[in-house]
Amino acid sequence: MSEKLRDLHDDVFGRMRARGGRQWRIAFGVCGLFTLLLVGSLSWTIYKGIGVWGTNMPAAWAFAIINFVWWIGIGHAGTFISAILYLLEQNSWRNPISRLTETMTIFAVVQAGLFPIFHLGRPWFAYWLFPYPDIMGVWPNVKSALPWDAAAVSTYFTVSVLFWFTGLLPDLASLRDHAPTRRQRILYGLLAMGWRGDARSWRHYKVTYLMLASIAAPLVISVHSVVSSDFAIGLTPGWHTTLQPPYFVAGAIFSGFAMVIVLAIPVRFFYRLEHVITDRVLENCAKLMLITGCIVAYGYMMEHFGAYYTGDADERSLMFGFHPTSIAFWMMISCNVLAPQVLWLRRARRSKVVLLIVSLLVLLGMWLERYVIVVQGLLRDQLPSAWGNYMPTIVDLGILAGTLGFFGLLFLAFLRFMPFIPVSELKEEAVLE
Amino acid sequence: MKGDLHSLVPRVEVTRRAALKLLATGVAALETGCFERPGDREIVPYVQEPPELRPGVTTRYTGVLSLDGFGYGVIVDTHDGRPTKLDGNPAHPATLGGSLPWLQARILDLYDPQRSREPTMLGQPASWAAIAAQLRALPRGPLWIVMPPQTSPTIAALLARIAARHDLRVVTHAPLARTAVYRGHELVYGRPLEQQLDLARADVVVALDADLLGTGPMAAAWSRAFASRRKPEGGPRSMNRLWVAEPMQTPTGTLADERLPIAAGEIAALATLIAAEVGVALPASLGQTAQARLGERAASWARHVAADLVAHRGASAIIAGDRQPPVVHALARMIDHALGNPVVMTTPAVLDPLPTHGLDELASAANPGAVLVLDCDPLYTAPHLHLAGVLARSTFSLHAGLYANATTAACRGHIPLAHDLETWTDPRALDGTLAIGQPTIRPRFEVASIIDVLAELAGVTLDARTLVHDQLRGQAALDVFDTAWTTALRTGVVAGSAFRAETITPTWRSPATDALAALLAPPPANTVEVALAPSPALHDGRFAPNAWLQELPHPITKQTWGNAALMSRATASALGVSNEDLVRVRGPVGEAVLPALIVEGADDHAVTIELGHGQHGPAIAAGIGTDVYGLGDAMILRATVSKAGGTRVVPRTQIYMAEHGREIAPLVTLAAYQRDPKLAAHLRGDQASLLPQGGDRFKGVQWGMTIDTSICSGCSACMVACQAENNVPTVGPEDVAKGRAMHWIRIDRYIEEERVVNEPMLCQHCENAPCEYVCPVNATDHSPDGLNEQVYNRCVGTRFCANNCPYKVRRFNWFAYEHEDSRSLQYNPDVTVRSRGVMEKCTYCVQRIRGAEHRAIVDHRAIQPGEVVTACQAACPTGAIQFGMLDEHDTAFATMRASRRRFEALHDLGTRPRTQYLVKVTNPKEGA
Amino acid sequence: MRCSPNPVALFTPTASAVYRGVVIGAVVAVGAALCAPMIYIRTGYASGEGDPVEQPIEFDHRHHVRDDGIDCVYCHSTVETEAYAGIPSTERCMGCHGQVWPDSPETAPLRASWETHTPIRWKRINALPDYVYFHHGVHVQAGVACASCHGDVRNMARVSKAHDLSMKFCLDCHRSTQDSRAITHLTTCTTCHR
Repeated sequence: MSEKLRDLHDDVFGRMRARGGRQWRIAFGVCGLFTLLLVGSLSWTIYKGIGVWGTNMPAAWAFAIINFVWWIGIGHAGTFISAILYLLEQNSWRNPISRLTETMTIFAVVQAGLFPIFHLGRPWFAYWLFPYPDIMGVWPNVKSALPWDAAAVSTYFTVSVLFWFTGLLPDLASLRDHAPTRRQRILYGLLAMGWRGDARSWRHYKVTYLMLASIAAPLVISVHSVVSSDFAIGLTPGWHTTLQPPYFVAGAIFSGFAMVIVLAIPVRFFYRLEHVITDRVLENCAKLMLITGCIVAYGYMMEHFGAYYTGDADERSLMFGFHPTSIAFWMMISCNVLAPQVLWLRRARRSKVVLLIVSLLVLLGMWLERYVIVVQGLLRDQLPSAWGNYMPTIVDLGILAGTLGFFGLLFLAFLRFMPFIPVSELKEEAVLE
Repeated sequence: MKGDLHSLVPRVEVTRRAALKLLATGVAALETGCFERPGDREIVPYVQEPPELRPGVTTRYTGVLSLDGFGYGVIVDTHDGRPTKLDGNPAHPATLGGSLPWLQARILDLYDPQRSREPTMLGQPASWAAIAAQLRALPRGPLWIVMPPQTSPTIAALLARIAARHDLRVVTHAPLARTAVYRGHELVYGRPLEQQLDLARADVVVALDADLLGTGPMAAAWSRAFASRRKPEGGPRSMNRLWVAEPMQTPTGTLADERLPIAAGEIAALATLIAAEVGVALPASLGQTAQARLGERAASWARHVAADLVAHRGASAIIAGDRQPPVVHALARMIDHALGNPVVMTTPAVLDPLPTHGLDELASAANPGAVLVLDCDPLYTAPHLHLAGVLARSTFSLHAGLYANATTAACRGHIPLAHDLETWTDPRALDGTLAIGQPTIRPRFEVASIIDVLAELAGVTLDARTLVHDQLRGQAALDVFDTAWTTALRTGVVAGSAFRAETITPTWRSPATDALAALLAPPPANTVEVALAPSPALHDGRFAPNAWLQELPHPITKQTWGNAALMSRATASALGVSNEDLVRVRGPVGEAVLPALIVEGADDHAVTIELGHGQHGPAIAAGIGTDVYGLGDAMILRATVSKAGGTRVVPRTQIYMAEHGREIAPLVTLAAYQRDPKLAAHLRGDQASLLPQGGDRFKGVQWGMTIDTSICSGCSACMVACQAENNVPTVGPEDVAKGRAMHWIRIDRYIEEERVVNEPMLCQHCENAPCEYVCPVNATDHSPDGLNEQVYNRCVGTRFCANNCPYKVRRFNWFAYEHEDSRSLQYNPDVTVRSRGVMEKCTYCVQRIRGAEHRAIVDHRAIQPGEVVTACQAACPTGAIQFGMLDEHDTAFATMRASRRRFEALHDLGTRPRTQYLVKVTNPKEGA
Repeated sequence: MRCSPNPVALFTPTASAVYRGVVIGAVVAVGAALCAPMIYIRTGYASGEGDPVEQPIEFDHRHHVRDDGIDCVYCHSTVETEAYAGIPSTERCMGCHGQVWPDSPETAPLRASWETHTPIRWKRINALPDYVYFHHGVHVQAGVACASCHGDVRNMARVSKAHDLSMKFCLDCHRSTQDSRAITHLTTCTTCHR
């Protein structure tokens, strides 16, 4: 028994320390460069003005909002897995990846958080979106979705961080106890907040964790519902529909699981953790991806049915006409609707290559979905005289690539220095067995 | 060019300073930014207060602008001594209070940093005094003066005195001079005469390649008169009928009841046929040739016109375009005569209507002596004459201009010309009415007016004011002179100075026959007609340095910053080109390469290209568009057009001109409207809704606007007026192409087949405004008097409002577009200058509304109907835009609001817009 | 569970206490950092409220208004009708000071301005941002006393800002004239911002 536990220990922490090698450094370096690109692009935007982006009239929202929604979406699977599956007692396949996905969530939300701020014409006044006692005697407009959006995202971020950190405590403690150097022990010691591992701490810990889980669970639903209302309250054709919230949430979890798979497969490969992050774990992720994918597909269907059934001229011409964005639309359909269908096959779900490809396609597809939703309606709204076109600039692309790099940077750093497998929880499992 | 634009708009520095400051200093500093701390600024009172000037109060003066010699009376708004806004002077016959785009835009030239700033001689800085001395000392030899047509009596007198001292040869040169008109009238009247139109009395108006409402010295006045006859609600004779035959759609063409696309070269034939039909005594052969030359459609069109004219004997007007050959104008007068139309002929206001000396004469002069080029750019407008040579041969050469241009370089000396608002002038309007132009600001640098230059040549030592003053006194018309002088200055016109009508009848002579026969000869094979046209904004190119006019969307094509080869879809497909593909045009003299642009309603046998672009001169004009003066020395050319390969972006503000099944800009015929007057009922009024509609949210004074699409010609004067009034910036071609034009009001154009509607689109001030509820910071909100308000200083720039505006009338400051240079002197101090990153849009000129309210409060009275006039309303030459209080009576606004043609754009959205429209009604001829 | 490889204790017994202190301190610090500017902005340090400014001429309102009983409107002549109250021209001052104190050193700069025809550059005390449009005339007509914004100028040796003139300051008055916080013609945005 205790042998098994010891193995688990050395496995995870051992490998974690061992594999800080060349590949890691190269990967880290590349991500670093992209992060610099991000910093550069954002500084240029601040320096010159939002005009360096491709946004225009009528497409006053475009890349930044697309990226925002995309990253927030990705940030959903984490809490879904760690909170909702925890409450549903799916620990057997939830634990191995819970830490990875929580971490993914937080870093994804960090990326997402950049956009609403830098997207403003005057970012330095972003704080006006929060209700604070100013000397102007005016408050934010509660009728608008945006202040709620700001609140929802920041709440989600805060809770996720607390949840994540609470979960980390026991493992940080054991890292402290096994740290080779004094410096590391002090560092981890500080992070572990004096965790002793005695029964009392464990009891508090359990209660806290459960409470946070039950707070986090509804947020998974609420955040993207609020985000979706940024569009749903709009008059723009293709935005103005009650379908948005469930459709957005499903899409979010869909893309979230895609990202989980994209991260989990290389991790378990490089760290030789096939016996921890088992095929079963991946398969279950795949299944959830398939389900949410089908919900999304249903969403697309209803969107078009609604347009047809209401007979609204603008909606119809938008949904059934040919537009500059139609190519994006059909790419989206093939990525989000067609590609996941292979997951009905057990063999496909078991094949890492297939999983990886499908997941990457889904991530692309979900980005395109946001592109179609945001841009298409704006380019073809009620007044033909105002119809226009949209073309992103190099800065737009730089920012998107930059956030990917920044995300990678943070994630790699985490892999290197933090317990990315919740050993304590695994042990608990083992003990219970 | 890009570089030049940036030098014009020093936004980068501004932005950096602003941005870095704001970033560096944290929240606290930001908040303190709200405060003006004591001692931060100064107050500098006058030493002696000027009696007429009160701080912050608008003072109005009369003034007069001239273009190709003709005077356009204006009212000049000045703030603390700075002219900031121009409007037509209601008392002046050329404007009657209306505006034209260039008239509104002239105020920007006044402060243009690109203006030439100092006199130069042989490339060295010189003083006006020194140059004046040289002018006085000119030897008695030959003296050439090249200048645009003049109407000023003062200038006439000065020229006479100069002729006494020098061997004077005045070359009257203007690419768009109306010489053909005078020649034509000479053909039938024996001497050059001017026709004075009264469109208000014409039941039938026939425009033969004539954009009478868009361009020309009386466009504004004629538009007003024409519009007075376009009231479907009125009695039987309330609607006139407009027949337009033209190669390319013009503002006039968009209002046509019956329109015939036809090559400009075919107009002669058309006119001949009409003349023959209405019974003008012409050699029968001509009629047959014309008949043979015209297609069946054109021929039957001509017959219908004739029938209509005959049906309205004595109550019609036939107008031929300025670029048409003389004989066509002769025909038009003959038709008038045959129909017994009340034609008023007067002596032309222009000093030498049939130029005694031509530019070619000067070009070929062996030893020309001294050459003065005043207020024109012949090297650009007449390139085939290669005037550089003769200027080099001259003993003395001086160019006087507002800007340094192509000619400047070829002359020894240059003197900055005074702007019309910087000097004393006395030009006549087309009808001879004299107006005294008084300076409203002291020139910011050393300038001279044409009068100053001529005075020096004439050896007169008096200043411009004295000269103009004495000239007027010299005219017997004024008995009690001093009051008359002040009255003239106050009203802006010299009473009773209009020319009296000549009693004279036209007779058709053989020279006319010969000229006409020559015209009717078939055109050279395998060539296509290329018709050159004035640019609605830049005229002959003299306004090219004006950013407002460069960025003004073309009334028809919506192109900004440049010109294109305008052609019909058929022509384009024949050439195998589509929009923005480059085509090569080979004219008789030179060739040009420019992008093609397809225009619905263009004739299939003619390509139209507008003049005034592709200059090498002043900063922003340089390299914009393509110069086509080099093609040949006529306006209507035969040329070959071929695909050149490659493309060039044509920055347009509207790309899609079809309604796509939406009922946005309805159009009905008069007959249909009289049959069913309620046909717009489903496009206005309340929607079925569970929510309270409007209701008691709006008490007291409520503002609204109504726009009659029946009389909107799309001339776009309102757009420039708005720009001048509301400090609306220009963004340059790149950003326009990106869809970032800033105009608060635009003219949407919908065209399907022959069915054209111009629909001015500005903030609709919706009672249920979609933009308001989405703004997270309450930067856009609704006022109790029904205005949709935009608060720039509260806006953080989420742009959600722009997304949610179904009318897409909101404009965003993508960069720091505001001016830091001398153009900021033109800014209206009553309107906030928007910084980078904030949203802006039409406010119904709220500064004028609040201003009127303040005056009312101070005078302890209620605000009066008609007291608030928006900038666009004031500028509109046809009165299509009316603004007022929803509860007023017996005003133009009230009548329009009461019309049964009233409809709301995108009514089905339930936004309850305060800006509403009147359905366009046309009056086609049955069976035509 | 296994115990740590080397038995040397990592932290001293007091460490936890310190640690907790630091954590709590951090939380408080963040809170303070957020509140500080909100407090600062309401003080005279930010608005410059109450600090007198040196002027090119030692003009004393106490002397002119309180002692000589000259009415505000005599010098600020357009205050009842126009947007700007109007600062008297040198000519206006000389109207009296041509005779009164014609050679006092106090009024020397005034005479200099008059003789050299160069305006006096006063320091502005009560200024509003450019995007705020204030009309003196309508306020006077509505019976708003000068003092309610400018303070008791008649007793100021050197004029100083009497109120912070923040938007809230304006709104407090504009809102108090109506019972609700509903937007009326007095509180709608374009009343001040255009």
